[in-house]
Order: sequence, then structure tokens, then C-alpha cells
Amino acid sequence: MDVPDVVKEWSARCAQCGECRAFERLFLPSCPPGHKFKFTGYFPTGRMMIGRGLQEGVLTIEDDDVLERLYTCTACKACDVNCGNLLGGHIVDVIEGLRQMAVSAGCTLPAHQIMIESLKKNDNVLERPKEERGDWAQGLDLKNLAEDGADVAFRAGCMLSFDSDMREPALAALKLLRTAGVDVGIEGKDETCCGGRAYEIGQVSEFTKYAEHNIEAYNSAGVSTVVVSCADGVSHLKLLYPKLNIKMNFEVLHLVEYLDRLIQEGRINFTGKVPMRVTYHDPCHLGRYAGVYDAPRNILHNIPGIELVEMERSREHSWCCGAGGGVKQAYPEFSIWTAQERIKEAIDTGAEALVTCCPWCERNFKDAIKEYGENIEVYDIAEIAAQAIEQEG
Amino acid sequence: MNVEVKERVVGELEKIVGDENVSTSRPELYTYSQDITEHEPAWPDFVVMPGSVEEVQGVLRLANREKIPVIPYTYGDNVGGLTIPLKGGIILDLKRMDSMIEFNEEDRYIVVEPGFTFGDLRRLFDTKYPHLWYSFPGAPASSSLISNALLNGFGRLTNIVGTNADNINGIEVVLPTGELVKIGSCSVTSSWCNRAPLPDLIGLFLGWQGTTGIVTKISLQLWPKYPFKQTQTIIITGIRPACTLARKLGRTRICEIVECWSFERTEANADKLDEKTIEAFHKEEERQLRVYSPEEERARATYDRPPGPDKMGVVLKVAADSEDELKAKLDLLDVYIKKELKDTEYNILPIGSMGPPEEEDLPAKGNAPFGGLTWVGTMGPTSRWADAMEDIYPVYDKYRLRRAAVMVPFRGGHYGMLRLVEQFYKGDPDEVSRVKKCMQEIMNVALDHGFVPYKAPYWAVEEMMRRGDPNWVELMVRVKKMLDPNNIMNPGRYGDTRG
Repeated sequence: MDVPDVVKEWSARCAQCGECRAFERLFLPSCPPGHKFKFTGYFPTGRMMIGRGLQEGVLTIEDDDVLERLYTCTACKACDVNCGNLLGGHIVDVIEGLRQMAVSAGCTLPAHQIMIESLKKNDNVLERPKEERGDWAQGLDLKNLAEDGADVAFRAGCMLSFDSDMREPALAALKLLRTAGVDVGIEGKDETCCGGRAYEIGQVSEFTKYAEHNIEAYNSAGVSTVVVSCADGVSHLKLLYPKLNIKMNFEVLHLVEYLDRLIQEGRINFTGKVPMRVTYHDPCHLGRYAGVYDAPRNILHNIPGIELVEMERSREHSWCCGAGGGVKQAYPEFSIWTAQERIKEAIDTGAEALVTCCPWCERNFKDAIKEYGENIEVYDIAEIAAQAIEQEG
Repeated sequence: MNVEVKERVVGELEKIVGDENVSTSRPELYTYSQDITEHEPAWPDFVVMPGSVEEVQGVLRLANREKIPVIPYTYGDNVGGLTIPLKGGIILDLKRMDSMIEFNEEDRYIVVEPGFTFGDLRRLFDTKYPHLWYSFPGAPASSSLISNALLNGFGRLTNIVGTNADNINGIEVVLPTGELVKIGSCSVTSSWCNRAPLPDLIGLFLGWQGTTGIVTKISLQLWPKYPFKQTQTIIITGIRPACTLARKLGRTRICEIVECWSFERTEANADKLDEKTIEAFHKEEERQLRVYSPEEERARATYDRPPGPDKMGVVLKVAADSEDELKAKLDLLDVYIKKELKDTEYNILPIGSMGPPEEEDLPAKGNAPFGGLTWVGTMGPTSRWADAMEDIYPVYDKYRLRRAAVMVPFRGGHYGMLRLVEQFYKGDPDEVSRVKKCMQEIMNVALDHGFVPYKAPYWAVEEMMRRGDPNWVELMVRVKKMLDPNNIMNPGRYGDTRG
């Protein structure tokens, strides 16, 4: 079996010391599967050891539970932040390498197989017909990038495009951009998945296909900036796409980064008051992956009436929402347990609402609230911001 | 173990602790088969995670009946290979039992379960009890207080309070046959405050490496955290003057911490440690970390030491209740240092040049950047440190490994630690093999000089049993047999080897 270089290079260097289990200085749990299941194999160090075992030939991908140990990781990267030995962070890289080994060996989880088939057939991971992709924007009279061109492309991503409960963040984002006078367009039904989820579950060829397509599409459209509503999506476009060494003639920003810029430039003014005590959840892909922590907070601080209270685990020390890495599809119960842990932490702050800026996080929080019956609202930051330009002060 | 027995045992274990807390899956067993050290892996047959004392009792009764080995496990980071199941059996992973039972601020002790970690304790101090402290070791935050104390682990107040084993007030233990016993004042009163003046049965479980029972609760002493402190580091040329200074400063009890160490490729190797040099050293550390890629690993796989005297670091931490007290202690320290080192080349580093104050660093991180960490940890007479070191360091050179040692006086220097350390790359079989041979040889030299290994790997226990007074060996075996008649507890270690 071919072992990816990243597994060869780093799995032998895990010291099994356990620093990855808790956030440094806070000494609070950081690894959702480890904290939930407790066995060593569910912690990052256990997965690194499984990598070593596979490399040595002592374990095989086909061994019972190997896939389960590899795929219960949400790829949240908290371990990489905590590890004092593998400086620079390489644990999630190894886990992704191990997942690529699994795919190469023909071993995939049934739920992921469904997701990949949906991707191949519908260009999205949610098993929805591709023709419905642009429906969320019906009646908005938005520019179509292919036909009309625009300076800025807005990417709604799979979740906002297809989940009818999740339309508000996309609509709010467009309202904000247009209020600021941004020349914005969308791809509509031609938008495709970013391919990031495929990458995370080890399906690199599928990822590459979508990455190449998207780079070509945005280059062809001549946009200067691609604004992404989804934290997963933005990290994939920002961090994974450049690895393909295809020139990208556009800048990639998360919506919150772009809104923060518009606020700084005076193009958005929040005149309405939104009296609400909120706490902010840093999506892993926006925070630990892309390093964006201040922009969402700057936006919230600029909205009159908003009182932002931080959870103890925040910024690079945020607890994951549980939806990433293909976990929501393959292990839905564990996924919403992870979200529920976060919701409890949010409630402990006394906040009325949990605000985030990733539709996968938001979806998972809403699912957990439905399951566990907690009393807290969940919003995308764009929804809150849009309220502040709707209302008079 | 035959399949039929295994299936039956799994069924019974699942009834005791719940099926979600029993694993026989290969990847899981593999992750418990080895640790940070160079020791050979050995696979368990089961991993079991009890959630209560009653469940621990249930597992031990079953194991005793079936004569299945049981290895108590918290986080597996003992650096002695002590939880590697030499003869298979059940890894009893205790991390679900992570409660704090009592925090007694007035009498300054804490009662906890095995899964309670140094990180948990640090958090408690930081959030609720900033005036209290513990003798934290340089271990990861996920290490267990119980395991550290039971294995005679040392902490960073050792010069004042001894090892963490010296500070145990009482324990609750499940015997291998399933009975539950309390030892210390908690056995006859409602308080977990002290272990004297009762006959000290705690010794039946201290240092035994989990071969005599499963400790399910422990009471440990807490210490004051002083508001004024300063850390000072002196770089000294030569092993002997550094050892002498450390022993003598230990005796004065001026410092909470006295550590004497040498790590090649660290600051101790610098001739002139001004700020520029220290910065250069940190860059060198980064460079060395990067060198450890598969392509370049051979660049460091062997190390030929350049000739010249050893540069030793003596780290001192002074703590005080007031600025005046701190100044008085530092002045006194200065007198001792100048007097002791008057004929020696030395360099006192600028305050703060060695990173953040100790307490900000504890629990510690990043001790094994190459995946492997091992040591021969010993305790013995501080008067023999220098002689032992002069014989031990050439052993490192023989195996082309980097010299590294830590010496720490305990309880004012009545005895002390001599720990010979090696960080190594686990991906290189040749390096691992040299480390193994080197550690075994060093252990023999240390024993020759009167130093006794703690957290001793099985081969070190065998050697002590071979060298030891036959009547001591016989007593060990008798005690073990009395407590563990079927030899189920962590077999292959203390009481199970006659030399």
C-alpha cells in the first residue's frame, strides 16, 4: 500500500504525550471525538499511531474500526494548535493522508460514498438536483457572472444554496453587498461545490476536479474578488486551491473579511440598533485554518446594540461545531453531540444568541438545538448585520 | 488467549462497564501497545474503561477469577514503558474516572480520581485558588496526578517538599481480589488530611507500578504560591563544580527549585549567553526541528561530540512573600554562588532570558519533538552525582548520542535525582537500537554509583532483583503474592521477577 509522504514524515514523530487533548493554558477539552469516546484511538495521538501501524504493516485499512477512528475526526485542527512537538501543525495533514490511503484502498464509508456520488452527479454534497443550485437567488435580479460579468463573485456554497432553512444568510449577505454598492454577481445554477469536503474525506481527485473548474470559472469571469459565505469553502479556496499551482487572478475573502473592509472604507454604516447579547463561535476553517478572528468581531462591535460576550474557548481555542471533515454525514449523532457541547458553553455566557459565519456550523447548531431542546437562537453574522441596516436607530 | 474465552470475557466486561467502554479492535489495541519510549510494543487483549470504583472492582474480580493480567492506565506517559502490557491482558484505562472528590483549602489538600490531570489542577488554581500551588512536574497537562505521585514522580518544588509520593495523605485502593481499602487518616476518620501516625500501608502501593492494586482515590498536599519570585540560571563550565553548587544550594533551602542540567544543543552549550546568542540558539533549535525530515534525518542520526568540557546549567527559583524577602534571598544566593564558584568559569544569564517564569510553563509542553523520549531516572546520594556523571557521559559518546542529564536535590539535598535523558527519532531503527543499548548501560553505571531507578522499566527491575539483597527480593515476592495471589497485576514487573 502506498503511504503518502506526509504520513511517513510525521506519524513517527508523534510522541503520544497527549498535549493535543486539551487547549493549552485553558486546560479544557479540545478534541471532540477524544472527549466523547475517550479511547486513545479517538484522540489525535491515536490516529497518528494508527498511521504508524499502517506504515509498518502491523495494521491494515481493512482492520475493524480503522475507518471509524480515521473518520470520526472533524479535522478541526485544535490538535495542531495544541501540539508542542510537531511545531507548525501536521496532525490533520497526517489524518487527511490516511484518509487518502483508505480511498486508494477502496475503503470508504457508505455515507461518504453517497456524498461523493451526489457530487459526481449533482455538483453538490447534499444530494440535491444541480438545477436547484441558484434557486435561492430567484427574484433578486442579480448579475450572472457568465453573462453579465461583475467585479465581485459571491459564492453561496452548497449548504446555503440547497438548504431551504438556511437561505437567510445568503440573502442577508447580498443585501449588505448591494447596500455598499458592490458590483456583485453569482454563478447561479452553474456554481459548483468547492470540492473541499471531498478533499477532507480523502477523495483528492474529486477535489482537484472541482478546484480546477472553479479557478477556471472565476478567472474566465474576470472577477477581482470571490466572496465566500462558507468558512469551509473559504479555507479550501484560500489554502488548498493554491497547491494546484494554477494562477488565480482573483482574491478570496470570507464575507466577514469583505464586510469588515467595507466598514473600514465607510461603505457600510450600521444605523439600526440590534439590541442583543450574543456570543461568537469561530468556525474552525475560518479561524484555525485561515487565521481570521478579528473581522467577525469587528463587525459585531460596529453594530449598535450588540453586546458581544466571549466563550472561554474562543479564537484559536474554539471548540468545533462537529460538522466538519465528513463527520456530519457519517456520524450524525456524534456530530450534534459536539454541537451541543458548544451550545451549552454559549448558554453559559448568558448570551441570547450564538452567532457564527459558517452555514455548516449554523446547520449543526440548529440540529442540536432541535435534538436537545436548548433555548438559544442561532444566527449567521450577516443576518445580524443586515438587521442593522434595515432598522432605524 | 483462545477465542472462546476471549468472547466470554468480553461479554462479562461489557456487562460490568457497558459495551461502549470495552474495545478489542485492532487499531485500539495497537494504540495501547507502545508509548513514548524505546521499549518494544506488546499488545493487550482488551481495553476497558471503568467509570466507577464498583466497576473497577467488578473487572478485577473477573480478571482474578480468569487469571487475566490487568494493567492500570491513565495517560500512558510515564517514560518507563510501564503500561506496555508485557503479558497481554486488560488495559484498565481509568481516564473516565476524573472527578475531584474534595478540595480542602483550609488544610491544603485535594482528593482526586485517577483521570484527574495536572491540567485540571492548574485550571482550578488559575480560576479559583490563585494562592495555592502544586509541585508540578515538567509533564504534559494530560498527565495524571495519581500516577505521578504513585510512581515517585518529582515536581518543581522538590527541593522543599520531596517527591510527590512524599506528599500523599491517603489513598483508596481496589485490591487485585476486588476488595476496597482506604489507607491513611481517611481509613479511621472523615478527613483525608494525613497518613501518619498510622502504620504506613501506603508503601504497599507506592512505587509498585500498579502491581499490587488499583488506586482509585488519592489525597495530595497543596502548597502556597508565592507572589514574588525570580528564576536565575547560571551556566558553569564543568560537571563537578555545577553538581557541587547544586547540592550546596539545595541544602540552604533558599530556593524552591534547584535544577542542574545539561542538554547539548541548548543554551547550556553557549560560551557567552547574551541576548544575541540566546536568539541564535532559538534559531538553531528551529533549524534542528526542520532537519528532521525523512530526507535529512541522517544528518542528525548520529552525533559525535566535539571535545571540550561540559557546559552545565544550574536553574534556581526563589519565591517569597514580599519584595524584601525576595531581595534578601537573592542577596544570600549571590554570596553562596560567588563563594562556591570563585575558581570556576561561569556566567549568570540575564533574568528572563530563559523564557517565561516556571509557573507559566507548567504543565510542560514539547518534550519530545522527534517522537521519542526516554530516560534512566534514578534517585540517590547527591554527593555522588559528579562521579556518576563522569562515568555516564562517555556512554552517550560511545553510542553517538547527545549527552543530556538533569540533577535535582530533594528535601534540601538529603537525596536527589539523577536523570539521564535522550530525545530520539522513532522513525530510525538504528537510532532506537542505540538508545536502547545506551540506556541499559547507563542504568548499570548509575546503579554502580548508588542510584536507584524510579519508574524503572522491566529490565531495570530485573537487574535490581538480580543485584538486590535476596531477603529483600523474597519479601517483595511475598508481599506481591499476598496482595495478588494470581499475579494478575501488571505482571513482569515488581514482585514478578526474581533476578
